[in-house]
Amino acid sequence: MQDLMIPTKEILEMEKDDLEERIRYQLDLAEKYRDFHSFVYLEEDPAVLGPSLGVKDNISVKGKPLTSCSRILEGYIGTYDATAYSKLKSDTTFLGKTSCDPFGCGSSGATSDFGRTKHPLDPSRVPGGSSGGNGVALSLGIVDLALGTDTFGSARAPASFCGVVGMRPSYGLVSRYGLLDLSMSLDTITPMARDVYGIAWLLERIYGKDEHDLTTVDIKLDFSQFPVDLKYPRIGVLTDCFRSPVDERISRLVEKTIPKLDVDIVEVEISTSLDLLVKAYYTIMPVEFASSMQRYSGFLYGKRGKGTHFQEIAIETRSDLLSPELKRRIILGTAISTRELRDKYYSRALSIFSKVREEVDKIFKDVDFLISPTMPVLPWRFDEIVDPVEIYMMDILTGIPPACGLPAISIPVGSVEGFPVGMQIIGPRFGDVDVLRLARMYEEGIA
Amino acid sequence: MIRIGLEVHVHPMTESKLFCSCPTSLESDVSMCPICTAQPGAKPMAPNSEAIKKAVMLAEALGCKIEEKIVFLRKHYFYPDLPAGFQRTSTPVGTGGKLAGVRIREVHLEEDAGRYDPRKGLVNYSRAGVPLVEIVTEPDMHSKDDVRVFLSRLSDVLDFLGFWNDKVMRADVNISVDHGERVEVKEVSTIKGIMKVIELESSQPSKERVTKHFDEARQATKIAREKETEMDYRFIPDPDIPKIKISPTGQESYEELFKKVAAEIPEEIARTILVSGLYPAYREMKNRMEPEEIIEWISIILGDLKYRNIDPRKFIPNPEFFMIVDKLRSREITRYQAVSGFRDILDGKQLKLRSKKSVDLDKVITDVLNEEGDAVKKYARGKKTVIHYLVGSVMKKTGGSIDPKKIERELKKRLE
Amino acid sequence: MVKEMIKRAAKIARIKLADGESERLAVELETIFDWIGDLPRFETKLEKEYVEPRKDESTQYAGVEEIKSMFPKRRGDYCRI
Repeated sequence: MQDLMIPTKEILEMEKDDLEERIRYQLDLAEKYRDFHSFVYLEEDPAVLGPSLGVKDNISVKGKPLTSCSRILEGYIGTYDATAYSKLKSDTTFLGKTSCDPFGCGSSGATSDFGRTKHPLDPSRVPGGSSGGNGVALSLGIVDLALGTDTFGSARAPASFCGVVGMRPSYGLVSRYGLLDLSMSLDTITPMARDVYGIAWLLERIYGKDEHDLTTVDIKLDFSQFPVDLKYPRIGVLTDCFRSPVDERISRLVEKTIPKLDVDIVEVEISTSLDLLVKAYYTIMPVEFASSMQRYSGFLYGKRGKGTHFQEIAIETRSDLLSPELKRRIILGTAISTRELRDKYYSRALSIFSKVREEVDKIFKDVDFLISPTMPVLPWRFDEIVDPVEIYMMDILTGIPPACGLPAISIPVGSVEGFPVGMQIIGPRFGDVDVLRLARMYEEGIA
Repeated sequence: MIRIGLEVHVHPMTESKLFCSCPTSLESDVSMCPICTAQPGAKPMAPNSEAIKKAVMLAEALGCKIEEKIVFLRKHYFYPDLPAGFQRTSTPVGTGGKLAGVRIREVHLEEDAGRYDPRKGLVNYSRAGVPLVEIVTEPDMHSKDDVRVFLSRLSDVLDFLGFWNDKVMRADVNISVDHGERVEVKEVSTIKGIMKVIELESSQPSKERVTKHFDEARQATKIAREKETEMDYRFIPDPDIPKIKISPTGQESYEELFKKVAAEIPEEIARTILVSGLYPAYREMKNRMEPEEIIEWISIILGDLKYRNIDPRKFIPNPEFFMIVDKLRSREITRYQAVSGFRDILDGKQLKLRSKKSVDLDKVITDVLNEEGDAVKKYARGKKTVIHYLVGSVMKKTGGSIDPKKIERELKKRLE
Repeated sequence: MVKEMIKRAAKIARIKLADGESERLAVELETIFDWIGDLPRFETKLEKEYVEPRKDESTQYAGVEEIKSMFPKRRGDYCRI
């Protein structure tokens, strides 16, 4: 049998026969690793059109189950293809829907209503979320490419924990049509793969203005630049990202990695603290989330709760079928958007995001990239961290790109205690190709 | 004293819905897509330009000042006919207008919901997402008559603009009596219903702000389940929709226009001209025709345009039309000829106007009587109605240039 | 005070809190509100883009049956309560 973990470029150049053999093998792997719960729906007889692709279950694929790993959509089948997926379907082999935290709500990747997703190296630990299923499936070799989503770290966290690559594109680059909303002004559909080449291949195909997503921008990226090295990039290093509460071993590993290439390193600071940024996120996101969840009342689609009167049905459906974290966020968001509280919380949080954006824009006049660790901790054991606030603080390093609409990638740069550690590279808005270029240079430089 | 304010909802005529390209056919055709049924992951397309244009024109026609931009907000509530659990509604398109003495607070755009039949327990989503324009008034009406006049004038404005084709008005009625609190009765869908609501709610002041619904079948109002004080729509700007630039189209205020035209021509005719869409045609006609001529021609024009399904707004009198008008005025042709000539213009046919002076009626009658021997015999035997057939034959030969009554008189003379 | 607000928000959001859950959720949300704390207000504003309105043309969506098939209870073209 062919080596499973060969470079994506080679998989893309495979002959059809070899590809078919590979896909069959990967389907067997999916069975073998069933207990890791990386898939919530597995395709029985996929049409082999290219490398295997896993699609996170909060992205709509026509005719395939679409639950976002929440019981409230149990039994629901996608009625149309997400734009990003439609651009890939004839060149990839759809293997199935991968598991995630329900509606993308979580940093552990382990809270799907349909089964607990486990870390590929240690099944007693979380894989990182919310695109946990993708992280695991890629890491185990079950799929070669994946589509995930990232709102405040959901593609980068599992990439970091599972030792694979996940990239959050610039906001407005990839259409969100078909992505089940978490926070509309922050959500992105993300390419995930085991190497940077796979990311570039995916991104080149899925980006583009879409009349079905008014937040997409008409911009042409030059992918011909992709494998070309950058000369003496200026790397900004945010001091806050390398000190407590970030695990010292993780900081040191990333600090050692940055100078492995010929780069200029500049220490930078922003006046807004990282945890204020996270707090602003957990104020803005719940408001947008509560809004996007208004449609789930069991009435028009999805599972319907008991009751003969509409309001009753809505209450039964939502109370019964929404998991605790979803309820927390919806109630929080509903409260924050009421007349009484919106001024105290919502509008202030928006101003915090604006302030950070302003400061980071200034920094990018002086540097080409920002680099930091992706996650502040190693994958934790399932019941080790349960306090919501503690879990929210896991987003502390991944918040700047969403708040500012910037592209950011997480690549594996080594391990601590045997667990993979990811390094995050952030670029200027629409500097996605340059981010890929630098990421590939590090990938090569570390190997 | 009773104070009544209205929030009137009307459908601007468009091909497609506000945020998707589903057809707005309001019959029972099924018109649905992922966007207007708020399927998971679906997002709005750019707002319908015709809906925006009509909303701006209406605001201008009502004398409003037009804003520079609009933003769509999400208005959240749970109801079976609202697929997304929120309605997209815009910030004002225009503010500060006036109609029939009633101040217009604002005009804005919003999405319509589906059709919910609570008694059958069924919802149809074909109407969900169809554009609506809402006109909000100040509580400047004080009686059923005030309301009737306002709604009638509003209807005229909508006809004048060619704004709608379903002639459906739904209104939320806000009433307060003396120093009492405001009672709001939502979604009243007939004028009769609005009148009934006013009757029911204007008897005594309300102690608290209350929201009610109107049951058309029972002709009664009842208090809504959710208390007014508890209702918070939690408006947020829709993150999926960037802002939209708008600008005035130059549409004149209807009342100003009406004043101008009513100074030139009797009020009733002025109203007919404006409401039927003949104002552009009128502008051409008023410099070349007397008011009496215009009045006479209006009914001909309207009838024939309607018969041919031509939008009166598109009718621009051309030189050929004015030639017919001139010839009729100078009696060179008959009214019959003028009308049929006008129809020929509309049908794109060549004008064949023969002046009546050039026809020798006696000779033509002789020819016809010679040719139509059977008819003549029938007439002699007592079948007098055959005269019409003979008149028709003469008219054919004379190209309709002679008054049929005259032809009938001459024929009868000869036949006796 | 926070507890009242949470109860009201849950009602607006059509979420009924089961007994034990009610207490626990209230505590968690109180903790979250405390953690968020007093947010500062900054003066900068985010400039939003403009969008061009769309031409008024209609197309019948081809997948209407798929959408209807997802109605939990159905009668022909109608969704049933």
